[in-house]
Amino acid sequence: MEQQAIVLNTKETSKLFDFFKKNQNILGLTGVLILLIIVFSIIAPNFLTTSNFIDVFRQMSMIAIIAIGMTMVIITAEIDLSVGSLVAASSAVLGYLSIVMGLNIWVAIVLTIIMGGISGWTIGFLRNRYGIPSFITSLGWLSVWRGVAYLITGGFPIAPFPTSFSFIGSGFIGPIPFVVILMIALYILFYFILAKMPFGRYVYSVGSNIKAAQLSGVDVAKVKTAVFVITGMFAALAGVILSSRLMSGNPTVANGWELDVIAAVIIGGTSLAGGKGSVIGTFIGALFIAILTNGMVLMGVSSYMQLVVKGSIIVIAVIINAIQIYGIKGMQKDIS
Amino acid sequence: MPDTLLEMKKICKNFGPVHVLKEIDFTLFPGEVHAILGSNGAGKSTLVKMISGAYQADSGEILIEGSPAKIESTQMAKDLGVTIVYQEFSLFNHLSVSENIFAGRFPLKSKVLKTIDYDEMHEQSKKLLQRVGVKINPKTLIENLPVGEQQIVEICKAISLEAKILILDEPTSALNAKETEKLFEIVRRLKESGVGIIYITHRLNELSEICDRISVFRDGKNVGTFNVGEKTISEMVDLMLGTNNKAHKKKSLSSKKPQKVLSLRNVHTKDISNISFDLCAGEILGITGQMGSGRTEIMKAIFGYETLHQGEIEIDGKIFTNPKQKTMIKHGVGFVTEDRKSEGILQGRSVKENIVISIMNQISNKIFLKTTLEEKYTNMAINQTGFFPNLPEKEIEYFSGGNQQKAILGRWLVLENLKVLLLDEPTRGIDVGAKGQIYDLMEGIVEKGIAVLIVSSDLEELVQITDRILILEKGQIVNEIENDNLSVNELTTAIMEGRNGTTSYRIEYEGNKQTI
Repeated sequence: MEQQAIVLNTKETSKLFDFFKKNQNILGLTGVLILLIIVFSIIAPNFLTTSNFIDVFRQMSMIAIIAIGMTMVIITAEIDLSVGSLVAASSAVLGYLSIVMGLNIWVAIVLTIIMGGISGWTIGFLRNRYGIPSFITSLGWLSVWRGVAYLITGGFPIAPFPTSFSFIGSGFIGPIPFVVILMIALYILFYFILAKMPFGRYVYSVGSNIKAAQLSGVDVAKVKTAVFVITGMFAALAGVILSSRLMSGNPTVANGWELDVIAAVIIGGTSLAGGKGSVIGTFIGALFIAILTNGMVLMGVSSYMQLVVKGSIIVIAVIINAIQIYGIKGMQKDIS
Repeated sequence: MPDTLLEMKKICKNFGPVHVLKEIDFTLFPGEVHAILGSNGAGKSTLVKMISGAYQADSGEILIEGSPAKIESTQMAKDLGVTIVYQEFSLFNHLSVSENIFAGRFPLKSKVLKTIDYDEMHEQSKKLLQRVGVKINPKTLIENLPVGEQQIVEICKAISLEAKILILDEPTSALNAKETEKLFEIVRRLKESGVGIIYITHRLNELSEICDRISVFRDGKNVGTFNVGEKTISEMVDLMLGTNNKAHKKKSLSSKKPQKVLSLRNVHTKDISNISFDLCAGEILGITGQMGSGRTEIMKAIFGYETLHQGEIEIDGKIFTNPKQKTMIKHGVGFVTEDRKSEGILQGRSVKENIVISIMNQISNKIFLKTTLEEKYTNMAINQTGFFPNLPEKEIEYFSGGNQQKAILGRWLVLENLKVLLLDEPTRGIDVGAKGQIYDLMEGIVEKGIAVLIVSSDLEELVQITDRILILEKGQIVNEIENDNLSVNELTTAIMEGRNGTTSYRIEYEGNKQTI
């Protein structure tokens, strides 16, 4: 009896240990995040208030939604640089369809999101059919979509949208902004897709070893295309949300968002080499960036300085990640 | 007794709490081939890495030519005249053969501008390759060479360094009989010139060919050093594995059921032509032939990885002229590839995920994965294959090559309607113990009525486990042999004879077994 109990006990502790080991990235990041919150609570005025936290969540929501798609793209060892410009183009196109062409706003929203999906599809298609790196195609789109946004708006915001449209970006359900609920719902959905659905397994397998995945019957082309389509649609959705908040179709928005999105994914522990990562990590990564920005604003840090800090944090996060893998001494000279 | 070239005294090495080497003594004389035997994890590679400077010993002494040496880096080892050919190649895939051979010490046209003298380099490489006796264009890119020829390039690189101590870590695991013989020639020549060679292998029958002395390692200890011929193979296996493990015994031929499950008819792809054969349920069919003879390509054609130019493949009555991986899996075909690392395992993912990746439709309803089913199939695979230790949540790369191979076999064994299993070099680089387990496993598979097609360059393996063997040459089947107590020598002869011997050999073989 006694022996059995001991055996059981060690099994339990090793399970707990495994859990910590497996999630040490996320747990570490959460620790740093909590530290950051404590520091800001002490030194930044008005930081530790409910309304400020709701604000933080609302501000992060668009980046965070796109980052769901980007997490999957990066897990498959690809990249999508077009998302920032696609947000602007979606905003401009939405304004054009709804205000200039007079389409029903909801129809216009659906068309805009389909456009985002098509944009992503082309990246996946060219990747699969001709082996063109997603870096190249999405870099092309980065320029094209920004240009399209300016072309159809002439460089100026298109307004006004019908007032009912403002709900998406500025509405509340109870005390919580609608976008925050939307964001959390999407995160829960995609957590389950990645962890509990065949498609999720396929995404990881493609990023881990594309040949092995293919030889195990995974339709790797379909998987890659799907993650780009989802990312494109999410970028367009973010464009819709942003338009709703500004109540105009606006070509100048979302400059450099692709970097914020990628930063959230990387800080969240997803590996650029593919095969590893999670949306939970990404969520914490996005939250980390949002809280850092918010705290610095409240402290009155200049926006120039904010850029410096944000950039440094990204690199530091990746260094910490590398230290966890290679140890403090870094990559050894050895051959393994 | 000549002076020792290398002497290691009481070498210990720990990785954390694990004692990998325990007071190992080891000597090497000039002009000697000293083999190290041992199952995976016995400490062979660790010892060798210490000589080549990749690891440092925790305690103990290393003497090179009588004087104490501290080998702290691979560069220091090279300066001392130690060269190693690793089992896993360290070649640059996108560079040419000669660039690989001369990497880091290119012949220069101009010392000032550091321009590479390509003509000189190709010329010297050509000579080296000729010395080895292979026809490889030194300008070919490594990625365009088959694995066997890559191995030869690796060896050329090592001998071009004029090493005093040459370490060969399973050099023949990817080579066919002819290439192996070539390698032995090179080894003998190096031996004559006074080079000391440390030779690691899993193929016990090679030892008597070229080795002088043998050391057997078990659990990080040197359990015996003796001259070749002092011990029989079975005695050495006992030493390696301990006495309670027995090497695999030849199985009795499985009772064949005549039901055909796989037929190829007149199949042509870019690498193979006019391939036709039948495979019955419960049969193990071997395919062999020289490297590049189209062995792997047949499997790739069956699995829908190569386009068929002509011909058809029939699986259990269903005919395919344009097979695709997904459809073939659906119809019960599994494929264990030759290159475990680049085509087999999903790095960074758990053993469980590696096993169930092929059966997503079996373990999910329309939407979600069913954890219970996933666990059921994972356990099934682990139990059937003897994967050990039973840690399905751990990432696959933490396990030995033999275990990784078991997981990949398990990936197909869990396929509900598995009918045909394609195995490409399934025991390459796997120790004797795990090999035996995999053979047992294959017997279990065929007893269930599954057909196995196996490509192997290990002839002993083929005569031991197959019912029938196809011999390929230049993409065509040139001979077919029933394995009725076939010997390795008979099989070797058949392969050597190839096309020339085809018809006459077959008649002779059937009529007059003894003379061959």
